Amino acid sequence: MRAAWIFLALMAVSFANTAAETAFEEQTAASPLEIARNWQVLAILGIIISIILVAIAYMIGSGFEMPEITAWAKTELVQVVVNALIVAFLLITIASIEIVVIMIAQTSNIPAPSCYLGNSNSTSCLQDVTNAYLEDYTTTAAEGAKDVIRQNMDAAGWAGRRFGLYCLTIFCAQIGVSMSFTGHFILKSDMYAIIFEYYTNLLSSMEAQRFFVREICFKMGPVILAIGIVARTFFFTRRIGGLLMAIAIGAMFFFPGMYIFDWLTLDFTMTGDKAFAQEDSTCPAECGIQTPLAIVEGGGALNNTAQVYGAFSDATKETGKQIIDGTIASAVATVTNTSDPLYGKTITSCYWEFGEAPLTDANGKRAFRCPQPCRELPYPNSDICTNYSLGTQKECAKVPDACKVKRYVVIQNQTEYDSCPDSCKVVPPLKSDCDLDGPDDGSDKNCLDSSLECRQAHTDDLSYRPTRTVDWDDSKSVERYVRCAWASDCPASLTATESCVYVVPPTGRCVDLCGGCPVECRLDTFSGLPSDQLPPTCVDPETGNYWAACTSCPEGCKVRYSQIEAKDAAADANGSCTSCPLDKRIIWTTLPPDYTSGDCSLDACRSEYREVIPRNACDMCLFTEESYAYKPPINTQCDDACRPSDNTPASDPSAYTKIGESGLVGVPEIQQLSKLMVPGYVLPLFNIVATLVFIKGLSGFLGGDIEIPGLSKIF
Amino acid sequence: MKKLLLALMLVPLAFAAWESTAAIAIVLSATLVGILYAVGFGFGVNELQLTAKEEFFQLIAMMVMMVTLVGANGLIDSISRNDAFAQGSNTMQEAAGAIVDSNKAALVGVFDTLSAFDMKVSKEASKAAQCSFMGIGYSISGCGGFSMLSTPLSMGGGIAGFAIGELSAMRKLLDISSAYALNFILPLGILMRTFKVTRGAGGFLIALAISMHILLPAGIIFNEMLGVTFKNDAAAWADYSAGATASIPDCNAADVSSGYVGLGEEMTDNEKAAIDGYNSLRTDIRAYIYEALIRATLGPVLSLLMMMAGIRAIASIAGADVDISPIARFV
Repeated sequence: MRAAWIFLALMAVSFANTAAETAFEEQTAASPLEIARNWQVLAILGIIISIILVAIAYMIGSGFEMPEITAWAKTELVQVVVNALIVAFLLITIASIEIVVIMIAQTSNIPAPSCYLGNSNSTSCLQDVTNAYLEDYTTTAAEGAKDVIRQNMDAAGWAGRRFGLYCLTIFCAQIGVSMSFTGHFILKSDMYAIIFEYYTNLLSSMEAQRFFVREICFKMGPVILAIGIVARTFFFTRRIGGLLMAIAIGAMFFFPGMYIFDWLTLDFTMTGDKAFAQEDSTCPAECGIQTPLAIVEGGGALNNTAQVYGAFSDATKETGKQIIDGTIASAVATVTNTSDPLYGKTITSCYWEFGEAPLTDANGKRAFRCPQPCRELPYPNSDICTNYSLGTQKECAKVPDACKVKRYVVIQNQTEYDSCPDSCKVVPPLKSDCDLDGPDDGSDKNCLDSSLECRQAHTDDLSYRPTRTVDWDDSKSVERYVRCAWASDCPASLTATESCVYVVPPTGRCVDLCGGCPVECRLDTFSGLPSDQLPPTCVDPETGNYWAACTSCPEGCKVRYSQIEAKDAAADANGSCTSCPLDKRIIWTTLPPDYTSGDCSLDACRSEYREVIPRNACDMCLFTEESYAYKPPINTQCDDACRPSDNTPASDPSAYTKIGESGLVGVPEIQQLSKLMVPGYVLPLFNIVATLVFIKGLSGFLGGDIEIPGLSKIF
Repeated sequence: MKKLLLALMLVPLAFAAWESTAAIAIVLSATLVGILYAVGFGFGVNELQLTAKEEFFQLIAMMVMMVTLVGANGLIDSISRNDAFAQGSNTMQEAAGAIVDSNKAALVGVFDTLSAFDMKVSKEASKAAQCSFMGIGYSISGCGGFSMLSTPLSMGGGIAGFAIGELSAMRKLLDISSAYALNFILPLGILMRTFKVTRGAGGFLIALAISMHILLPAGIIFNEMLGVTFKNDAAAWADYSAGATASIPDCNAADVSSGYVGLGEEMTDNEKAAIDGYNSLRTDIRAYIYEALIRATLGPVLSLLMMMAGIRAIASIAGADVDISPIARFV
């Protein structure tokens, strides 16, 4: 049985070929050290020599009846087998770690190309993720340092200003006085100098980690591992061999892997405990739709990095990266499988900015003129999306419609949808490009410079727009007034995809909107009925037709006949309203007597089987889910309904440095610096300690030394 | 008498080849053991006889060790002269010395470059503009903020200076090992290993001599070979071998304008100059990191650790279980 297990494990290993193993093979093959370059041959030779020596020792032990030597030979024979098993076990572990890391990276959309490709690439996913983590923090810290330099240039400039008065005549002995009226800036300058020093130390620490992980762990590690495997083969170098193997594994896998732990820890700090959270079943399907990264020729979108990388072969993975970050406009998919739906299709980047110079944000990261959160329709009313000075709305208008998300309700509840009549639904602005007549083209239309709150029209008056009062002496008030007035430049339509404004139904009291129409006549079916089928009170005695006031009465002020019908079955089942006509099953404070007596008395026809006549327009929609108050139904409440859905880290590790200011005091530069201390100092220190503990433990397991000379000096 | 003999012999032995020293030591020890046994036998003192027997056993062990060392002498010599290790020099010790010298020269260059940058930064930071008219003066200094760039430069200078010191110490240690490891420490160790009272110290000295002679230079050469692995990645290596390209831009002392930097907005000229200087210094760090971190810091540490691990391993074989942790503190 045991042999079978070993055989199975070895079989698995023979098929496993992860990126880490590929890198191991490449690095050892390129090593100038013979022992690393030909480690397989040397290890096999070592095993053969060990077996021969063990056999000789066993022979001598048996021949001369020396049980110590016999026992030693037996132990050594076991060690020979153990060595082979350790190598096999090692490869299995490496493959497992690689798979777990790939899963985490793919689920969290970390921009690490190696995590989305096959095994033929030589850079491991772990290496890529670690690089991404450290690079992110290094960039953040560097930008913080640059910001401090900039601030200090300003502060030092002020501090260096001096004013002097000198007497020029000999009679006052040419006495003079010089003073600084901005001396307090020296304190600021000193503060910036101290902050910068901290940044310098922080950056040194992080750059050193980055260098170690990128250039030593994954380049020298494989060579040390190969040497360790060979050294462990011989009994007299077993201890150093085991230690070298443990060091290499610790450096190549455990230490970089600790950065994933750091990432998760920081993510936990920011967003709470997601690992033990229940699956969020309340999040509707439409809220899970991601903003497309690219669109496919002939229709379709690629919503995440895995899908984009999937369109390109391993050899052209950089093209996928360029599509994602918008470096190139489009490229033909290079996927080689002809049955793949993307085969030969042109993939167009959603982040292409027409060749304009890339922007960076305050943290030095790539920023897009139309940020990802603004790529939704209806256009979000948030600070980042309504930055008029940056022209964010105009930039987003240039983004193709297919690159934006419209969160149409995926699974529709018809009953809920019907609870609010079409005439009471709001038409959302789903038109993608509302800058057709922008100010830049010489016309005087300024839709995208208008206030979002003024982009409203009425269903019965598409030209209507709200207005603001203005104080002509207050420039801000004037600006608000003008921006609101510009909303009239936005097209309105009852078709959502043609509208740049919200088209809302009429609002107000039904008494005002339907003045002259008796309450018992406010049934939606009455307008289509012949006069002889209408109740007498609903017919205009002069014209003999349905009251004109009732015809013009908005649908939102009328009882829907279908709703009364819907209650009829339940009423029948409970023996209520059996002889009361459907059009009399209504409730209001004042109704004709035949609506509230006899067969239609409240005892004979109970109130729950009647419909209440709306007091205000569209009262019936008050309890309708907001998504169904739109036509078409669209979900605008995803932020409230949904939380981050996975248990993996956020794709931007330095998001930790962007937490709110609460809990932190002091100037912003110090706050920014303090946020980097934990990820820059504390967690890396923990990583190093944990790695050393791991190396000592693994070394013991591998039969190596557990004392690393000079270690006590480091810690 | 024994002490006198030892004292008389130590001086000339220190300059003799270690094989003859060992032979003399063994003969001397055998003589002493014989005398001891004779005395014990003559006077019927069993303890003396037992001690003499035990010492005789140790003498045999020592002889076996000697034979091994004589045999290993050729091996040690061939390792020292092996082309793979010697790398064009006569011996690996010379090769290691040449590597350390080369590293030191490179680092001195780095130090000089950093000093030049620091001077330029200080010069720019001290610029000021002044105007006075009819006894009324106004002075401004728009470049004071440049002084901030001295912080990373002083840190870089500290690291480079420390590395130069480390390499100098390593060079001295190599010189000591070349001069004394085989000529003095090894014979002394063998001599001391022969006698009971100094056996532990003798074992340690043997281990020290061999480790200093072989493992210390081997560590430096090994690190250099690992460095080749590092250089194999041509793309990455290009960054680390580009040399100094940084420059500190000139600052306009009369420009004290300030500006707000938002997304896509411009900085003032002096702010831009300071940021450009910082950026170019940051980029340049990679050009020095191989010299400072891999060759000057990792190399000596690696060779010292190898030497200490060797001392522990060889000393235990030589019968002296040495706790090297106190020595490791020197690393």
